[in-house]
Amino acid sequence: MIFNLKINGKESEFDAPSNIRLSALLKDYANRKSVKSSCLNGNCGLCLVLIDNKPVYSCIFPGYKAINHEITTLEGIVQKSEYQSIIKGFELAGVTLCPHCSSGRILLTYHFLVEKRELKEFMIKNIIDSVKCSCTLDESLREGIYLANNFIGGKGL
Amino acid sequence: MNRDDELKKIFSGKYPGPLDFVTKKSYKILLFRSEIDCGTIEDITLPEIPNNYSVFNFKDLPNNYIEIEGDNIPILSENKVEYKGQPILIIVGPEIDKLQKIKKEIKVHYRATIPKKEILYKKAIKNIDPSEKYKSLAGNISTGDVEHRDKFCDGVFIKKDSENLVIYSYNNWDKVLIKNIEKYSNINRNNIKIVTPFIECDEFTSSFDTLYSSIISVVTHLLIKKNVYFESPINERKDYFSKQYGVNSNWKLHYDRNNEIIGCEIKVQMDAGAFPVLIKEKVSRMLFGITSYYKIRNVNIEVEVIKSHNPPCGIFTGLYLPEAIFICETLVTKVANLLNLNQFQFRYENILEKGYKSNTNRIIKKELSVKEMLLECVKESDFLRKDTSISLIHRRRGSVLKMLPKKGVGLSLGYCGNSYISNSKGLMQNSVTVDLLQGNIVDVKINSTVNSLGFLDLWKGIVTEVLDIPMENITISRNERFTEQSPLIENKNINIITPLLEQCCSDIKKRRFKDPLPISQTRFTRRASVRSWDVDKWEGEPFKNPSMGCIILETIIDKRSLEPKINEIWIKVDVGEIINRDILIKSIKKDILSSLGSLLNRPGKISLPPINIGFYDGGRGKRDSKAMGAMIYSMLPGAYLQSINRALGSNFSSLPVTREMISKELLKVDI
Repeated sequence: MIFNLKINGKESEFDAPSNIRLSALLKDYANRKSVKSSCLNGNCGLCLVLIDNKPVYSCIFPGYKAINHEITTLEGIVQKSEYQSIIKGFELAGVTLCPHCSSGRILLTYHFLVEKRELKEFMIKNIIDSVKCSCTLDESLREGIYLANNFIGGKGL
Repeated sequence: MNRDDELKKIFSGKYPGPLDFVTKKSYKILLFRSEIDCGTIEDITLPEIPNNYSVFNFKDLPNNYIEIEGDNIPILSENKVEYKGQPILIIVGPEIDKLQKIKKEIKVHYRATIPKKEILYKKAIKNIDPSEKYKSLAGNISTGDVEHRDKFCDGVFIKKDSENLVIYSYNNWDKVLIKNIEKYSNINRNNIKIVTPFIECDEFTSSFDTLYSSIISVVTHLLIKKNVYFESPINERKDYFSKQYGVNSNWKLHYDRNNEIIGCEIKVQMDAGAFPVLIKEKVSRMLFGITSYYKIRNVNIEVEVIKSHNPPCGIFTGLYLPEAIFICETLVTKVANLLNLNQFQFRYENILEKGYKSNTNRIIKKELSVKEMLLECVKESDFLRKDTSISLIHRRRGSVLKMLPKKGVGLSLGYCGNSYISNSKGLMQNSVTVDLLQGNIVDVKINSTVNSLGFLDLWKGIVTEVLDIPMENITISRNERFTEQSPLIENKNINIITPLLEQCCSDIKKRRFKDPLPISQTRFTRRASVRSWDVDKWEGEPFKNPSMGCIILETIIDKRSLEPKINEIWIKVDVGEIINRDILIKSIKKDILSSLGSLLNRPGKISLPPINIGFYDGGRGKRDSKAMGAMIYSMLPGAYLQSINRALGSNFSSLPVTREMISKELLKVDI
């Protein structure tokens, strides 16, 4: 099956099996190395990407459903100033993410801080709980999100 | 290696894992696994194999065994199948879909046999003569299985780079891997390059499975002479990867005619799975761990390992020491209850003192810090008042009891040592090289995997402190040729690499203004000429610098969710000189989180309760630092079970405590 995908603003075409997961399509065909996958049942959250600016676990999202939608991976936000603010906040709070969960956590933080523009408690909880990895402590991540929100200039809390 | 550069790569999603080096031309590996528990292979029918695809059985391999410190484990099943999921064939080719098609078409005829359990190894320590006994009280203590959860740490990619064999994998036991590769081929160990990304994750990274994956990949690479990669499918990882099976122990307390306890017998059964991995080490750790730091005059202990038809029991955090300490603490709690003594009082009076003999026949030369820590921890947490009030509540009868919240406090001691395997086998050669170059530049080469970016800052800080060189002039790199690294990386980094680096820097400081630049200094741990620990004679010092600790836990049982909730934790640890307080606190909190996750059977997310961490200050030298290791995993379960028993007035002696168990106990008291 031919997949016409718009990944990080660029349109590309791939020939892949029709039943492929979006995570496999992004990782193996589109060569987006930031997309990791582990559990393949939407449990760990390492494969999180944004589809039309909404967070989605790409391992349980069929590849064909992403056709004609805009997919954002970590590579797509790295050049943006908000990304730099998030990283600044994380570094200041001593958040050292591991290579596996960094993509999911940063994308989710970006989604809440940039799209919503007002940080609320449930958002922080969502960012912490949606990606399951024990590399960083909740309290330092909470502090990092709060600082990142300040650097971005968002409201709330 | 620079912390900022590494972080930049991680935050931008560019930090490469082993599978990020895979190219489209790389060959993939799939394993055909056994479908029955035990039996013999009668016949294998292969489909037509297309060009560029191959199927290998054990006869094709140069050597069908993985050697892990004396234990031999077959790579592929020969004619006998020992467990469901045992690899029988290696299927290799360029496209994964075709490999799966071939795998589906392979037909294997088995002759199933009746599963049998047999005793593989047995060891005992006898201190009492049970003939004196008048009557006995018996019981059982058991622990749950431990699975490793970092399931993404399995991918391996092998490529030939000019003369070098490059292995990209998460394997953290380079020494064993290289030893095995030398056995299969003529490749010189200097031509083997192992690239391991750092893993700042759960401690439950299975060394056995990553090692096995690496060896399967290397063997296939040697057969087909192509770049290969291997990653187990997710369902195979779940079902067929190694586990640490729960321990079952039966205890007997012997009384004399005056109704006084005269001794105790403990029989422990461990499941080794289908193939033994480091069995002697596991048994001896269980044997001396089971008496912890208590006086042991009247205890008989027997540990037996059983061979079953489960996947092999691999190498996990603590290597059965946490299980042993859990059994010990649960038994101590039971004995204290039977004697109507307070938990603290009984423990405090029975901790080993100066002049006493330990379980390994070693005379204790100085007072143990654990006694003082226990006292401090009890004072800080107000344990005695809480425990007494809970006892009073349980003595009351009637409707008052129903309305009161079910609160309990638990207390446990624990310890963790390291270099156990090295001490028993006289192994280990870690090295650190420091080069002072012109322009005040320092180049540090370490012979270890970095498991946390915090270590980079820590080591740079040591160089800056001793040599007065700015942080930006220091580079730290890993000697990628060959690291003599054993599974517990964090312990090695604290106990071996950090003191070696400090020694190197001190040496350079002395030579700095005498010798011309560049000055190079190498320090390494020498192979011990004499074993410091002899398992057969049961003599010596099994651990290097054991760290000790004490934990108190306050739990409340939620009557709606039927789950224990931890209210607060008080913890006191003796880790010698603290190298970096932040890393230590983070590591303690992470361990508590991970340990609670497995106790509550929710490995994903649980929120941390308030934790009061205290450090014992023994006022010793800088080189006396100890790693936390698996100390939290050994202390927490005992205290947790005790607190639940206190809260419910129950007598649980096995882990995990399920909702059904709590519900039954609540029904007895409340309704």
